[in-house]
Amino acid sequence: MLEQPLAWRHGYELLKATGLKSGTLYPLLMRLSDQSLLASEWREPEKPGKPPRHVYRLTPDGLALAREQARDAPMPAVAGKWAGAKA
Amino acid sequence: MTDNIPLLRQCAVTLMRYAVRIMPDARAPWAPAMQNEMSAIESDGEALRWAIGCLAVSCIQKIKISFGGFMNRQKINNVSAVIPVVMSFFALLIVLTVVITGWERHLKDEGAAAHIFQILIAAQLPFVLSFLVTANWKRGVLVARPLAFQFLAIGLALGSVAFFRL
Repeated sequence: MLEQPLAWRHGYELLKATGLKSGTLYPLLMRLSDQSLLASEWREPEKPGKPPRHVYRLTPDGLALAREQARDAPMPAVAGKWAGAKA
Repeated sequence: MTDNIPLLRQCAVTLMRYAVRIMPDARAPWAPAMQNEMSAIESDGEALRWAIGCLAVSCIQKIKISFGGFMNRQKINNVSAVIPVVMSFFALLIVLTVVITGWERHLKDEGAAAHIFQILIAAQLPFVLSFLVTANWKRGVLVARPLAFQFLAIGLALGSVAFFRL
């Protein structure tokens, strides 16, 4: 969400990107939404016969907080992957 | 019609319907969001895992919202701080009633007044423990003050029994 702040993402897409379970992801989304850090809206289905889906993206406040957190927190997993790719 | 749907998918759909049904009103918009998202999951096993997670979310939200009004830590702490003092006060009141009115003073064994007094004292223990468990120990004064009141109150109740030699 931080990499492409303007992009709307589906719940399942977020689940795959984060590796979280749905039972963990949705309470997080609810909490972020309660704190006005997350915006959500309904999107019409891309394929006919499918139901509309909820999409999410960070609000400006959420984005500022995420950037702050990302700056403070080390990212060993990503660094490791990049190091491996280079090697 | 459901014959063509694999068993895992049927289970997932059933669980998801239940998750939608029990989701509390305050979180109602989230239920169809979770339910509709399942249509994008191609793997039946993954859909089932998704539905189980969503059911857990609904259950937790239901519990949180249903009991959140009186189950939060601060409220439990506040109630637990006051109840022992009130119970000690009633215990003291019983002692004074016995002394003033001579209620059951003629009995050789313990009567109703003594039993009520004992219950009022013993029943404070869970409330005191609950107060200690839910206390915010970083703010010592907020713990010490109610605790001092509780000890003072129980001291008065027990002291009155000793003083009047009941």
